[in-house]
Amino acid sequence: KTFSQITIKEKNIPLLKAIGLIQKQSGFDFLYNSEMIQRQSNISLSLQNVSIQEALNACFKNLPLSYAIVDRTVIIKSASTLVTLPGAITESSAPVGIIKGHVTDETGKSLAGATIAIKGTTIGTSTDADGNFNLTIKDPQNAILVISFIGYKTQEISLLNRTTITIVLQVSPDLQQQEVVVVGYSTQKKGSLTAAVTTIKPEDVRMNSSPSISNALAGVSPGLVINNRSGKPGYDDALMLVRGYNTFANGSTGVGPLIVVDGIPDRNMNRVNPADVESITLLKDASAAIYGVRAANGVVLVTTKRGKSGKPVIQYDGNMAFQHLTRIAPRVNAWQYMTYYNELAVINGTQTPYDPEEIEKYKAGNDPDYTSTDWTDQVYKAWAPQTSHALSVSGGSDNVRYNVSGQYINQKSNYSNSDLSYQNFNLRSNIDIRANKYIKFNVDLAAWKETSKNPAIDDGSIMHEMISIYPFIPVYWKNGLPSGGLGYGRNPVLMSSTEPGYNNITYLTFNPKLGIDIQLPFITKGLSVSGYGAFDNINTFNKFYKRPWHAYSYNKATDTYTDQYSSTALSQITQTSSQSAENTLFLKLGYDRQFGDHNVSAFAAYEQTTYNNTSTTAQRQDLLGSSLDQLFSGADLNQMGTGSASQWGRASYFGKVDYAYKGKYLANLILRYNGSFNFAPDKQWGLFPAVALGWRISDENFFKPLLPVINNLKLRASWGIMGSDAVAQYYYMTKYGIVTNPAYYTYFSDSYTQSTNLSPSSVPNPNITWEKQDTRNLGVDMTLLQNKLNITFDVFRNYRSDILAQPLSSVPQYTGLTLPYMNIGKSLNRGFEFAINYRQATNRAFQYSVGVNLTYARSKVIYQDESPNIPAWQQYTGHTVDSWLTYKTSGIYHTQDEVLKSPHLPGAGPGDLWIQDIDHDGQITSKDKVRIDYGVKPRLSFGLPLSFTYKGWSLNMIFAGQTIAKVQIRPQAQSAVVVPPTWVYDDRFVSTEATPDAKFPRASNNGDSRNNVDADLYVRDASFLRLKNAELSYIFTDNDFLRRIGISQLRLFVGGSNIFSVDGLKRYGVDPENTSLTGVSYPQTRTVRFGLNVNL
Amino acid sequence: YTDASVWTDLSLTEAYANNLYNILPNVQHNWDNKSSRSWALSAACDEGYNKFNDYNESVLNKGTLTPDNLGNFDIWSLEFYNIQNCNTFLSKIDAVPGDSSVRNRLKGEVLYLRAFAYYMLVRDYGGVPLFSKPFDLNSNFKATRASFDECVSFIVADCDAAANLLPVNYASSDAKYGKATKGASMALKSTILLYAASPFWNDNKDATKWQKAADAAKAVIDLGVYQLYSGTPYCQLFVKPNPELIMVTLKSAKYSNSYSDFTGIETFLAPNGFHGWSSFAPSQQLVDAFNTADGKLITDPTSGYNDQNPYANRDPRFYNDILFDGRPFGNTAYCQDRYSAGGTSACQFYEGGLDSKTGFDNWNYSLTRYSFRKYQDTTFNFNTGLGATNHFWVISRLSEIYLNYAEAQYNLGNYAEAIKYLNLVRQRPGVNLPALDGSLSGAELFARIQNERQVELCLEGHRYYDVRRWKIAEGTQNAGCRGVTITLNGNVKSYSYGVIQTRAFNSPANYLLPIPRAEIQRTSLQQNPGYQ
Repeated sequence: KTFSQITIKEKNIPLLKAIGLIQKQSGFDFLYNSEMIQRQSNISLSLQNVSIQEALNACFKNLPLSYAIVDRTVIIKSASTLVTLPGAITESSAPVGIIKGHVTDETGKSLAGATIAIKGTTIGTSTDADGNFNLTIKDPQNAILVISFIGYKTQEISLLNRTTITIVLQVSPDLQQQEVVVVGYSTQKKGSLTAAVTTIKPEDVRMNSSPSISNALAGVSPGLVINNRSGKPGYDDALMLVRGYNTFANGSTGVGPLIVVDGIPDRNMNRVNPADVESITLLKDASAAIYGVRAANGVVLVTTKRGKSGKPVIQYDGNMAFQHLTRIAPRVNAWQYMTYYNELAVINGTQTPYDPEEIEKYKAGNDPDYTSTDWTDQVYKAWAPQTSHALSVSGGSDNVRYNVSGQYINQKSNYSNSDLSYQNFNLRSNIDIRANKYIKFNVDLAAWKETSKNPAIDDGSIMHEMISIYPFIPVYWKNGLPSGGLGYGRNPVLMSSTEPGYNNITYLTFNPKLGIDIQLPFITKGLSVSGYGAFDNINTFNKFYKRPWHAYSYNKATDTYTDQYSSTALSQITQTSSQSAENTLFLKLGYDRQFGDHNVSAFAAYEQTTYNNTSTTAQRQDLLGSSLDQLFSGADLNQMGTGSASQWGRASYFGKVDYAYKGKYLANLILRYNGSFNFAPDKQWGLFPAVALGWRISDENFFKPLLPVINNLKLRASWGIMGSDAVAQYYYMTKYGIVTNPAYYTYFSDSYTQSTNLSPSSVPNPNITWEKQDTRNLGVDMTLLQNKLNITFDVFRNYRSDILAQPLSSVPQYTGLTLPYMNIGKSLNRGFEFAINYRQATNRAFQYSVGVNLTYARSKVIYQDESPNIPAWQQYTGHTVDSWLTYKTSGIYHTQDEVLKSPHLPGAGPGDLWIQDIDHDGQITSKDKVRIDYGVKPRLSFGLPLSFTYKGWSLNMIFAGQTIAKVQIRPQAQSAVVVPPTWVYDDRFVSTEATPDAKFPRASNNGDSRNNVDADLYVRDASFLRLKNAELSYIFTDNDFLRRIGISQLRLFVGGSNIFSVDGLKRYGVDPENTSLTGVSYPQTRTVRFGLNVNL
Repeated sequence: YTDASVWTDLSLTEAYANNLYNILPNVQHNWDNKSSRSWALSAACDEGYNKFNDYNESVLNKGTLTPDNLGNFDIWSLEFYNIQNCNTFLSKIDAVPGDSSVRNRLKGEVLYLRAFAYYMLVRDYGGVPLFSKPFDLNSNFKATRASFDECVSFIVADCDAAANLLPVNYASSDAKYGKATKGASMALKSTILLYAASPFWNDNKDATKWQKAADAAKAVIDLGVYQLYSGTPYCQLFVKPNPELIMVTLKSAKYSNSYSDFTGIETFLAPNGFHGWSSFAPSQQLVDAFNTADGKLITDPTSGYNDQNPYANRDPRFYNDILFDGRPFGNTAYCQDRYSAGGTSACQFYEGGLDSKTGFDNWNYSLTRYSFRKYQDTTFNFNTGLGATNHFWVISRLSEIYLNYAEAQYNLGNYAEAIKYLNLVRQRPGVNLPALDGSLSGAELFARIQNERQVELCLEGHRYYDVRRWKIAEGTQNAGCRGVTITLNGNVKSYSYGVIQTRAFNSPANYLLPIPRAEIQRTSLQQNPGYQ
């Protein structure tokens, strides 16, 4: 038996004390109305090693009270409110039959404390901690069992002489509606929500194999657009957008949601141990207004797990994963490369660089001096490992509860020759202390140390070399020496290794939080005061070490090798230490009370956040030898010590009132008065209001006839004004900075002395203030078919004004002004989202749930600064926020005749893009570009969460997808010598006769002004449907062997992410979530993993 | 720093002025830095060729220049940004407390720099809007293009004002080179007035314009502080600061530490056999412009020039400016693997040689089979390829002023005076060519003036504008860029000449750059003729 045996011998004690004793000995939690308990007369108990049920039965024997046990919580209620019969009497009649039974919920979990009564009698019992019961029955043939349990639907079952029976109880709609949801600064029951809020469960988060939990959110929730743009270890965080693109300000910053972890803004959700996640809530509509000036892009609230009283629960999660690049474009081989660039030279009227004889030798491929290298294949390896171990302990007593966990992640990179890796040691301890009846403390400490080891040369440069290096250069010459690439040792296989040094970054993050919660019933009932302070710290230490490396060039004519060692790099060490501190203080006065049919929950609060960062950088060059990677070994000449500092702050007074009448008419009011340091002192403060209303129609009397079909129906409406202050500080001031780019240094005197230079920044805008968003939402929540089918539907309208943008298009360049960020833009983002989930869960062994969620968000520019003389068809206004502006083509010219008969760019010939003359001026100019009303951000995104369970087996899958999105793919834009992907080569134009069906232009590179242009020919549909995350698992429970070795539960799983994708980009070797024009970013990865969870 | 501190502390004000020196062209080969059009200009005219099209010169060379595509030659917004910063300075400087002599000097420097910014604009675009006050958010942004002559007057006024404020020389030696001086302002005035008097800008052949140009050049000469470089070899003139230099921009070797940075001009000028890039290579046209040793044009049948032994008996400057097949180059110790590979310091541009497409790093071989010797510092270590050399870019030097003066005097009919100054340049120590025939006149003399500028000022950014102001660009561009192929048969080399890059020129449009479309779309400015 895992639960306590209770021994109490007390005479004439208050019930409260008795409950206290049982609580202490059993480790169970108790929920009760203390007034009700205090009203009861004293009791006497004489119990020796009895179960909790027996103890409780003894307590309540003569009292008008009953109880129910849910999980490890005892709920005490007055007997009159229960259908059930407490204090079962089992010996009153002659025994005729004994029935053994087991009660579970729909997921198969045993229910302790369910009441079983025989209809029409007073005979009954309740289930023990394992959900089992025994009952002696007079008339087993005709007896009808009535099984009831709080939160579940009462069931009646005819016994029909059975002696064993398993009963599955279904959750009553009420329980679903009772689920508590974390919303801004407070919690609300799901049933009383008026906002468009989604809660993501920890199961979904744990299925994700990336160390960044943002990747777990793809396809899970409506209203959330998730894209992963890179698989680089430690830097694979997904890009999140709540309901699409609301603004065009500031490029990528200022469009994502505010992240709040355990009430503290700006914490890094991606570094939370997935096993610690209790829930993730999205605030998608005006309910986010409680976050004021940072609310406009939605809010993601992450809540971590806290301890429950009871014996310690120890859990281990471990897994081993393998990463594999999803896609990478195959490139041409040596002779194809030479052919291509000879073609280009002919077009450019220059001498052909490659000898036809040489090309033939490469083509023949039988001379060891003439081989071809697939550099992509050399730079990346097929599989890179990743491991994770996590351990957590959770438990506590009535007064102290804890949840403590630790996690270790080690992720290697797919660079074949690299030590690049990412490691994270993660620790979290959430402790709750009840000091007395009124006062609770919580102490939360989270700390992690991340170590990111990177090559000294950045990924962009490595990738650039990888696709620019001649395929006729080998990685290693035939004598085994590494080749030097295009010179200066630029062999990408070496560049990605530690040969050229390293760039190592250590992040030490410490997130402590201390909170207090004081109930003040002695002042007035329902009054409380609470508050917390958090002092988040991030220390970053970056050591960048660059040193020369050995790489060789080879002279075929003389058969000699030359070491390029001394020309590869000047040794250099740069060390940067940076310290960021973000302090949050929060104080709240809360009031929760029910007055008859009126339920009021309200709070007023103050919050302030201050941030400061200082960093120090020291650099020395020309180290003594390349073995000692220390600053002191560098030369004094050109040594550098510098630093930087930044700060910001926000303060707010805010409050919220939730009101419900009879639980069916709901209203919320939010007000936030917010100040932001980013603006001039007289422009810092603003008011952000929101109102939300809800109506639970299913609670109305007239709805009763419909209840069997529609179990729950609620309408919601909300409106609010929220802000975004995502611009850098001090835009309201004129600034001058010391010039630090060596390209702009000036020198004077015959000794070439460097001068100090000051350069002006942009013109100040003293009136700069936050962006404002008018957010409206209408929603319906519905549950049908005995709560199996859940439907949520929302329509929204976000009107953003005062968008912060630089008016760079209308002011003449001859003014020389770089205008500051001004509140000039307007955009409108409208759409809808819905989620349907069907969950089939019965006592059958096979259970499943299927869902669909979908988000449609259409952004439109209402006002953006544009050049006054721009043609109408190029205007941004009225179009999607990130729409493309490209030439419209009729493919390419195949014949000289086609060129001559149509307007063309100067010098155009067959094989060039056939650009359409949109303005019919007889010339091709940039005025002929047209706006394609699509961007890389999808207008429609969707998810399909699927789950199947058969006995211990379960299969969970999340498909995620998007459509109405376009990317541009133009690999030749990368460099003058870029190696074309095979699809560019195979489909290129060579001559009118040879390639009558060519789809792509003749040989070209980045300098080609007729073909290296934005054109619809390169724009591709970025729609995809991909199996984002999947997991197949088997769970062992009630296994004797495991129990004997102390394991209560064991779960084995195999899973993965980015498993496959259906889309139109496979042909180009481009991942559908990759938006890089030429593909020089660390590619996305597919992960396969194996793991286990053990519970002790 | 805030507004208040910069304009109340003279040392910060000076730091602001120092930054404005970025207006001037410099030696840096920063692919994306348009103000550094120093090298790019020579590859966009018949002077040379840029193998890697680093500045997208091909747009100009192919005649495909449009308001949408100016290669990397679009300096419109950059120069107006610089002018705005100059105007901000000029509007604030008078109120800055402190030493008035420093204040006046700084004002002179910035006036010179503003004049230079306008000079760069007008030679590319013709007349542009003129602004002498800074814009702010509340300004009226409307403007129209001033005429070319109005712009010239504006520039000349700035030069005059600057000349009055600037010292002839800086007392402290730490500012001797690189800072604007009285002479620099006067030299700029000479150049802009020469442009204004030239055929392209002087439709009605107004002789008073030539007179002004002559006077301005003479004023610099009469200042008496500059002397022709008299040291030898001549090539040192472009490596070590010397009294011929009137204005230069300096770049220290200090900041060059990886392949992606500025690695020293030696790297991008030298032949591939020295691990150079041959990025900018001289054209056959430039090579052919060098006289024979007896001072004759090679087209002169009496010159004795033999195109199968083309490098013998040439103007000494040829050996100082150009690397050609057989020319020894560099320091033996600084290019070790060339010798390991059996080479010598002599360039091997012939087919199969170390500096040909079968040598080291063969993608870097010179297509014209020449490299520039000018500006290269032989103390540069090709073993390491790292920039260890200081460099300067010549903005003005005395021999340019002599040639300006000679050209102006020629156009005023004073042939003797013109010949005198041509000879000063040609007979300087280290060059010592025979004097020109004193009876030269008319077109024949003008050809020699043109030839002298082409040779003496090569790779200094003059030729591109000279062929335009003389209205001969159509011919020089359409001739394409020529080079040589040298074949070795036994010990005998044979030379065959041909076009290595065909070029096209749309006349008259390409005499000027188009105003960028982005500007046309936001203003009511008149586009230059021939562009839409």
